[in-house]
Amino acid sequence: MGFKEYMIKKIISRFFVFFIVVSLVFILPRLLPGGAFAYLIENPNIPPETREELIKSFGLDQPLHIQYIRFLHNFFLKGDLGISFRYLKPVTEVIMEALPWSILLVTSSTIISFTIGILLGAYSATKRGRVADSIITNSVMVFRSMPSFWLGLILLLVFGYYLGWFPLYGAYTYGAEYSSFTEYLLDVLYHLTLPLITLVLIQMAGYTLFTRNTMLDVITEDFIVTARAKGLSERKVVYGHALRPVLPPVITVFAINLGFSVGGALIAETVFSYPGVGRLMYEAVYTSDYPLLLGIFVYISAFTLTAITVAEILYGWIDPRIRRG
Amino acid sequence: MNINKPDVRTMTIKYAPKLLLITILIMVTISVASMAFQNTVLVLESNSSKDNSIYANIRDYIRREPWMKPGGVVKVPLMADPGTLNPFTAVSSWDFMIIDLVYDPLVTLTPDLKYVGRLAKSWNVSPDGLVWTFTIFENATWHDGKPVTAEDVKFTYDLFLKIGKLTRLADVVDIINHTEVVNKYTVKIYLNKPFAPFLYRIAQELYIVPKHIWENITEPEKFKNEHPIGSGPFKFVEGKTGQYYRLKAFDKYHLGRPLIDGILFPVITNPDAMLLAFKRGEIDVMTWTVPYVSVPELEKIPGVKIHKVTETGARFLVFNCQRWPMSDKRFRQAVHHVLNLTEVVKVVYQGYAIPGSLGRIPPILKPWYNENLPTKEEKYPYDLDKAAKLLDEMGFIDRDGDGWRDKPDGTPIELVMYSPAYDPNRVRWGDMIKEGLEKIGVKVKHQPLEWTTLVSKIQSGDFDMLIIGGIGGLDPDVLYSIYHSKGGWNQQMERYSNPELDKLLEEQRFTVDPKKRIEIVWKIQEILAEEVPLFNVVHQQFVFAYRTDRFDGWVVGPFTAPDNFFSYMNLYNVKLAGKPTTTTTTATTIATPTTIVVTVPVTTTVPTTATTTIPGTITTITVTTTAPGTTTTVTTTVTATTTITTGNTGLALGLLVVGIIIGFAVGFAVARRKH
Repeated sequence: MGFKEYMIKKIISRFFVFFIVVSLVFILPRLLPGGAFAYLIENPNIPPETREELIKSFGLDQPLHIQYIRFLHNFFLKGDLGISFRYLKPVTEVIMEALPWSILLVTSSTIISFTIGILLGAYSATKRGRVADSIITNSVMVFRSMPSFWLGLILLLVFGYYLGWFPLYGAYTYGAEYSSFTEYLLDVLYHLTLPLITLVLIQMAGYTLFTRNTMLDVITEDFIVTARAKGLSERKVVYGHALRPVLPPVITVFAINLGFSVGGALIAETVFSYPGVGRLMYEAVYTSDYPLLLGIFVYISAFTLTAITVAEILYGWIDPRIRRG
Repeated sequence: MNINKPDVRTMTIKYAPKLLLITILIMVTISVASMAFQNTVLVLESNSSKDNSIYANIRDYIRREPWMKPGGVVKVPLMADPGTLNPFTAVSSWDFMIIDLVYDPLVTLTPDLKYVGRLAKSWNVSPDGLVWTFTIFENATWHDGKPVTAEDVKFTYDLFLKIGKLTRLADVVDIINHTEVVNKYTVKIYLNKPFAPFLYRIAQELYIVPKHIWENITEPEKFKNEHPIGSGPFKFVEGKTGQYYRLKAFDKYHLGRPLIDGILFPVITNPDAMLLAFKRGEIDVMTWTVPYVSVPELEKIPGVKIHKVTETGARFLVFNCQRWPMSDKRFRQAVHHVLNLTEVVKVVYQGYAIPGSLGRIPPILKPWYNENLPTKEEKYPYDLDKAAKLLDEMGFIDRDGDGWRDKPDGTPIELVMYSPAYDPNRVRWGDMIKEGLEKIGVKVKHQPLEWTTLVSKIQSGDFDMLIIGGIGGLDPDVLYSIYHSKGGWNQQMERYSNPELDKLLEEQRFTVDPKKRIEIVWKIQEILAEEVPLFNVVHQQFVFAYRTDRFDGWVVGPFTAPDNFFSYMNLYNVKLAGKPTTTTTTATTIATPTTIVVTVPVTTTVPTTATTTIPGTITTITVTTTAPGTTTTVTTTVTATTTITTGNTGLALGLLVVGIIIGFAVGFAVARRKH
């Protein structure tokens, strides 16, 4: 089987996965208790008549299969995700407003935690069983097991409130007028710091432990012995020779995480009032805004699947064994 | 709308939420002919109605003094984005925080509960209660410069007739028959039947929209209205989803321009962060309730004021009047005797509650509350013997000698009481009622339930007693749905029926003369106090806070939170207008404290250096730099000339961290490359 066929096969199978994901996300929220516009029930100022009329006006009184066929038609043939119930705007527009902020937060935190994780993992693997190793593995586990909401709140309280070093909310200083783009950029970075640290602390553990464990296997292999026998410095042995075979599997994890964390930043975005997709998703769930929820999942799954596919194709290209397998 | 806000917000999240799943008002179809009406024309001029206590003049609610400084932008947090700024289809209280300032309804309810005209200069109602005539202010202007006319009012009401079923006012659309323009500034609204809460439910809720804009909109019920044009005191500037919304004072507002220049609404999704930002003075008002535990700490902060808002409804116990023994009023009265309300208010609610009124209407809701009504502790004091005697009287006694009271036919009975598990306060007084009843020999099973289960119990009617909360309004018509045998709430809750009460509840709805209506409402409360189909335990109070160190002139009321139309019309700047970066130099001598405020031109690049010359007698000097997000204070002793530099350490540190991380990444890449 050639590389081209391998690629085509991959892409087709990914499309089916995507189709299944989209279908599930279409159906699942509609099965939630309460139903559409359930949040209106909680508002004592809204008579139930209003809710019934709204359900009708958005076509939600139709049988599920009709709604589903209509959605498939609109989505796959017209690329239309529908109108958000809450924002009364095309879903794509609503998501596009939030997406840049999410990408900024998620990619920067994923890259940073990936880098730190690999370095820490490699380092602790070389110090296996010693104090440094146990300090690193234990401390990353501590952060990993903290609920992100709690960790975020503590950071907010200590660095945002008591020390007053960082802002308490927002993506930049709202209402401020900037004299230059650099100034705006600095303000954005300043507001990014706390949510970024929260996400890095939480994501770091995965990469650290994964690298450490893979590295422990590699470090006993013959070529490492050879490298040492060549008289290379320990630093070059570890970061030059041992780390390289460890990277590919870690990169797969990286690709998967990148996709997941668009939604995974949900808690951090809510705690720090960051205007990203995660916060939007939280709101969509709370207000049972089906089209918006669906739209967000379409973006996340498309993003994740693309990332994985790209990673796999690269693999197949680099390593012929995978293609054949 | 505004007045009800605290209620809506707190209940939406914590308390009675999904109850409304059930139903609301069922419209009465009682012939108008049978009603007795007044024969004289009732004129309720907003300018000349001092004789009638529920109307006032809006001019008395807008204060302008020469010493009030204008300018400045007030910061008011939103916890969620307004979904839409369409005044018809908006639902959440966050939507209305902006809509209520950009648009004007015909009338509005003041924080001291009087109707004042906002777009309407005067109004009156025909003797039969079927025709309401409104005359609007001649100088009212839309934000795009066009004048507001009666045509706009007619257009709005006609549009409401068309799409009203999709709005929050779906249950009152059928009240209106048609509208008619009399002249450029006068409009008549014809009703299908007299409706006493017309001002409260319709005239106050319907925001007038400009005809010249809305007539071109094809689907007004789905219109998002991203750049609303209204006639209110503030113009809409911009809104960024998830970030902020901005309003600017409207210079040509017919009631006078607000003193402040504008309002910035940052979106703060985390209520804890909102409170922290408030404590640090980054926002001027709390739009979400403050937890009771935080109150003592807040009170210590200079410039912070606390305001308690009482719910218009109550936290209450529902008796299922379809079942024995709850169907017997002596049992219901006995339950009133077993709970010590003073203790509930003091211990359970730490004082943040008013003992429940026997007539349902909170004692501070004037003029509707019947002032002659005895309190619960007066009429039904905490007294187990009295309770036991009432049960003996009705034949609810122990028949098999096991220590528990039994049914008249001798079979044992255990009463089931449900309460909301998410509210520990209500679970706690539920336990107190259970204990009290068990002391007098009534077997009770108290079971706290999750929200959805509780709702299903209400819907199915499968309960003996049930604890819930909410359901109120500033107009007494809410009693109709709570107590009328055909009332939406009654049919889902206590299922109580009393023809005499039904008649009075219908009468108050059709009686447009406030004085006569008050009489009927007072009588209704007397019956309720005797019959007690519900046990109104407390009217809970929710805490809001606002700061007076930047802006003052806040207007609050017993049911009104500080963020409201009247506050924003009255707020004035305490200091000079603020800029994003200001350096305030406070210099103190032992004899005379002087404060010098230096506003540094907006150079937000940090660190900022400001030099100030201070009179020679001063010994210490404090420099406070306020930059976005941080405040740095440095105090030093002055010798001759002292230069103090304060920097933004937060930003520096943040950049340092990012820098280090990037450094690591680059270093790593380089290290690999070398190999």
